[in-house]
Amino acid sequence: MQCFSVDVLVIGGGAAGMMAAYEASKHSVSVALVSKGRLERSGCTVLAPGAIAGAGSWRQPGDSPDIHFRDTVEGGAYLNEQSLVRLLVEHTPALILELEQIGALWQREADGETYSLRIDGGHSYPRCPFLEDRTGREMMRCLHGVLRKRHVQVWEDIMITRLLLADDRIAGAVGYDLAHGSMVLLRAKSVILACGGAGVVYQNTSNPTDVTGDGFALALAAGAALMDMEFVQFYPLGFLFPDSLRGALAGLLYYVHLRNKNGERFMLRYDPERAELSTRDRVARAICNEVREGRGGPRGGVYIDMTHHEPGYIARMQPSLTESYQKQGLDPEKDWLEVAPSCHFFMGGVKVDRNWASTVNGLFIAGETGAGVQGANRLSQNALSELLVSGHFAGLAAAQSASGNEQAAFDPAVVQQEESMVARLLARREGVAPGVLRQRLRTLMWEHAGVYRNEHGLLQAQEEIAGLRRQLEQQCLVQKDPAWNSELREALENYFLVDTAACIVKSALLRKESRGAHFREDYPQTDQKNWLQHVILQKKGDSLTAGFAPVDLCEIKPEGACELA
Amino acid sequence: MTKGTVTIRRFDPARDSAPYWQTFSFTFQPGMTVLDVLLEIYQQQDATLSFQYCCRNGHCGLCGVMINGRPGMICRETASAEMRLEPLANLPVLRDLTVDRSEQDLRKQDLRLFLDRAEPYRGESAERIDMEAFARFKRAARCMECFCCVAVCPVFTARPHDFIGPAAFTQLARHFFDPRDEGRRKLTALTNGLTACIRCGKCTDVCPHDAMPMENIIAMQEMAAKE
Repeated sequence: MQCFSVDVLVIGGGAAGMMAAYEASKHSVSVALVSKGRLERSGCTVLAPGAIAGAGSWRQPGDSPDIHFRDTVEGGAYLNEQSLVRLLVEHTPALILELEQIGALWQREADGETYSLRIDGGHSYPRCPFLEDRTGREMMRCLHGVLRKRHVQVWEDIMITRLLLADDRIAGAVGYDLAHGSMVLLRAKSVILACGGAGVVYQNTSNPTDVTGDGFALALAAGAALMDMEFVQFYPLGFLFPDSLRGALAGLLYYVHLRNKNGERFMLRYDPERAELSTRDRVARAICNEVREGRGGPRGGVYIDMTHHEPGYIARMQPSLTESYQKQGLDPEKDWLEVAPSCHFFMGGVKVDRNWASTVNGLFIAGETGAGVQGANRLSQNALSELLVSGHFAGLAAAQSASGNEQAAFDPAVVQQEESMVARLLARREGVAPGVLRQRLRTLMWEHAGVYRNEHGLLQAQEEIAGLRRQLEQQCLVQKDPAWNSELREALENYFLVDTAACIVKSALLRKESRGAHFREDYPQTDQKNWLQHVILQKKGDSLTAGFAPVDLCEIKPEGACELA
Repeated sequence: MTKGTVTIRRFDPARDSAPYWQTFSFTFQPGMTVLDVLLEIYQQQDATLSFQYCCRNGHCGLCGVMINGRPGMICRETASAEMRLEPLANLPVLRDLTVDRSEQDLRKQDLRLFLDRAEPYRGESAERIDMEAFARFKRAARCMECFCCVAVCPVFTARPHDFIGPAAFTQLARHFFDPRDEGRRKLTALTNGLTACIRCGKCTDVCPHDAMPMENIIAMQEMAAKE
């Protein structure tokens, strides 16, 4: 077994983790980043085609951080922690510029010094710098560069399976080296979790295959509180074919007319004024409703129709998607394409304070793994802002926490437990294949805890998840080699997926209203009187306990909110 | 739906004395990707088949494979009913179609792939950038290191220790073209074999993201000659 010691350990190799590691490295501590995949080759950021929302010096007349704040909180259906949103809107602009200082370049107008800006649903002004359709890659590239420049240690292809705890403080993490097939012990004075969300818990997702709820499950097992886990964003237009592309973004709402199998442009019935440009959650629900009522296509979706545009327009506006259409034998100027909603983003996650500290001493959070910034629904382009600001604050606070504390002791038996779990998986001769177990989970989550939810379906999901949890210890692999074993990795990830699924379902059952991305058919209204509060989950022994916490409404309140004590 | 067959080069260096070919059947659907084919085999026939992928959509650069002799990303390439798959050429095999990228990563270590500048710009609005240089920068920055170009480069094949290769040069080119950069990029490019490129264009031909490795190398050659 390999063993390393460091002051600040960052878990997660997306831009949130790299931002946190970069910030921590400025504060006289040793920093290391550990990632399940390879940098720039794993996680969500590298796929992000969008832009970074921030009302900096480039803002248009009338725009300001205050307007960005209001847009974000209204988009989040007032469930955002407003102190965190304030930090988001005030600090993103400087961090967008800081990324240029370390090597990025954002798109400019012909003068070479005016940022080109994007606007998207929910933003009052164009305020979002970007680079081509690969803003996320540009962030990754400059952050990766600066980590190498500053000699931050990077350990790739290591999957963390458990956080180490002393009595009242984080002590590091234990993981599995996927490339060499051996255990790794990482001792640290503070830890930053930046593992993204958990798109893979759903049948349809735009996320890459490695985004499996690791951060949620690791934090939960360490005793941290999770918050708002019922809030999962579904992007309305995901591919249904080919299988490997299922859930990937298949189109942009601006360019499409949505049609059911009868050819009807059905959004005019659900939202006559805005039609396809209604909010993402409404469009997603309308699509699912068409399918449920028998007006969907053979693959369980509806059709996007782009034939009303002039020839050449679609190819010009979205060249890479056009290539995908053509590879499937479709001509967007003649054919319709079947699509369905797809899990895109987790608004919920680990509960944090204004330093992005979790409820566990020494454990900090960055990026999508954290909760509170996005409320009940996320505005487009706010994810990249969130990862910058949370990475910045978590990195700073984790460095300070490491400076003021000694390396905590831990129980070596924990490492042996992890080691023997892996050994059991490799040794088991019969049982369920990890891929089969995962497929069952993803299907049931899609059916019962997806776009539409109700008590009956959620209770059924809860029961089925309990069954799958029992099967985790019956997983059996064909490939027995401990190194480069994709089945082993799937099996280990399944533990995280099952934990995440259980949290989503439990929170969704408790929230008896509809708000933002969470829609309960049996409680279709938003209830400002009773439900302007967070659902909080914690692990006590083997069970999940739920509690409630007030929302931070320090700046603005929605209509109909009662004064909270 | 019809039957498809795919012949795959299998090799576990720790167990097999030599690579061998194995043929699998699959359910062929027009429009399916090569990744779909491999996933069907992995999930339904042989879970020991090793291949790498992550994002499923052409961004992570992990899934390059030789498909009927030509390198491509399996998530972006459409499958045909009969195919032959081999690991990416010019890279060591870890197992089956999974290749070892560590030697390629090693090549990058001395290239200083970050903005090399004594004093960072500290203005509160965007720094003025020469737009022609920015256009070259953007083109090179599209590279996501799938190494398809490395697999077809004849100079890399012949002289791997004299010529750092089209992917590493494209990584370097971003910084070479960055008008803010003060690093000794010309020297780095020359000592890594910049002039050895024979301009065959095979790298640009197979690049899935139009990063145009050959054009980047030629532009660096011309800029290096001018200075």
